Amino acid sequence: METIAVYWEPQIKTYGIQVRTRLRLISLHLQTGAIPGHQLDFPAEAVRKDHRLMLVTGHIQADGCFHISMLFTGAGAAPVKDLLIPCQLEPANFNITAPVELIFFQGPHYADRYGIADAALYALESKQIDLLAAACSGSAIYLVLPEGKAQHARSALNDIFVVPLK
Amino acid sequence: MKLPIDGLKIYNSLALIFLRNDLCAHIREAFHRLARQRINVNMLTLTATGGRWVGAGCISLCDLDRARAVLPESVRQSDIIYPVGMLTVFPHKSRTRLFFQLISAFYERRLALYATASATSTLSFIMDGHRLEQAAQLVQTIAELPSHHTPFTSRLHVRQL
Repeated sequence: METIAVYWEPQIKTYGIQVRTRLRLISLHLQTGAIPGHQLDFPAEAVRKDHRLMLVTGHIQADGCFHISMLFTGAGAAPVKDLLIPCQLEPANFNITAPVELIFFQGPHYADRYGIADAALYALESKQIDLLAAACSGSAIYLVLPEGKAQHARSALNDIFVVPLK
Repeated sequence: MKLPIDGLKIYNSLALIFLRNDLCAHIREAFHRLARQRINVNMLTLTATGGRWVGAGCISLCDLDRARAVLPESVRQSDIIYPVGMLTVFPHKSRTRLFFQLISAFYERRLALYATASATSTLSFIMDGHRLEQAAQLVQTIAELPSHHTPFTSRLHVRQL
């Protein structure tokens, strides 16, 4: 069954733009075909040490490795690097960027509408704000930014996306 | 013991476009062109380093011909795979644990995983379209669905004018 829909609004509505700061972005390069069990200890150990996963995103790369980016909270908790040591990951296979910031938002029917990712990326580009990582899934947009950029990005996004007044 | 989840959905007939180390400006232009063609990007994952982006974006298979016409030259034929599908899980708790258990299980069963992204209450996986049902069965060996679960595949397809 197919439904034809037209979404149009003069300014794209959002339910609200949220910011999180003091986060850690961890990139893992995993060999596809087999993930050693000890590498999978990492997330369990991270959660046990009070790091909360804010975002996970990944894709297969041209070299066949699977690249995973994970964004964790955990300011004041055990350093993430300590968590990686028991996992025996080679230093070349992971990278930690910290602190970083996250801006994320959702909106009505974003999953079914064109132009949402374009509008978000345009907002950042127009203010020359660099992006470390991004994920759009379902009705949510997540943008990972260098330290000190989230408020600037919120301002840029507010030029494009609007929270309707009650 | 299985991890409780709130639901599972599968979406078929998608195409995945890989973005390989391209200039941010080129990729931005590609998204702008897709938007002008009214092509929805169902899922997107991007990582940026040194002014270049790598990642993947998913579109409906019925939009692929129009997308090909506007994508930058840097996107080669081999950077587009189809048909792929999206398996979306709605974790109840233990999102991190579930994520790693699932990708491990997919690899053990040689179910190719091309891209993944989380959202507030979901984990989504892009896989071969013809193996989605098998992946959904595998998820049920790890996770417990609610007894009143609705069918995995939506009968409603929204298409924009």
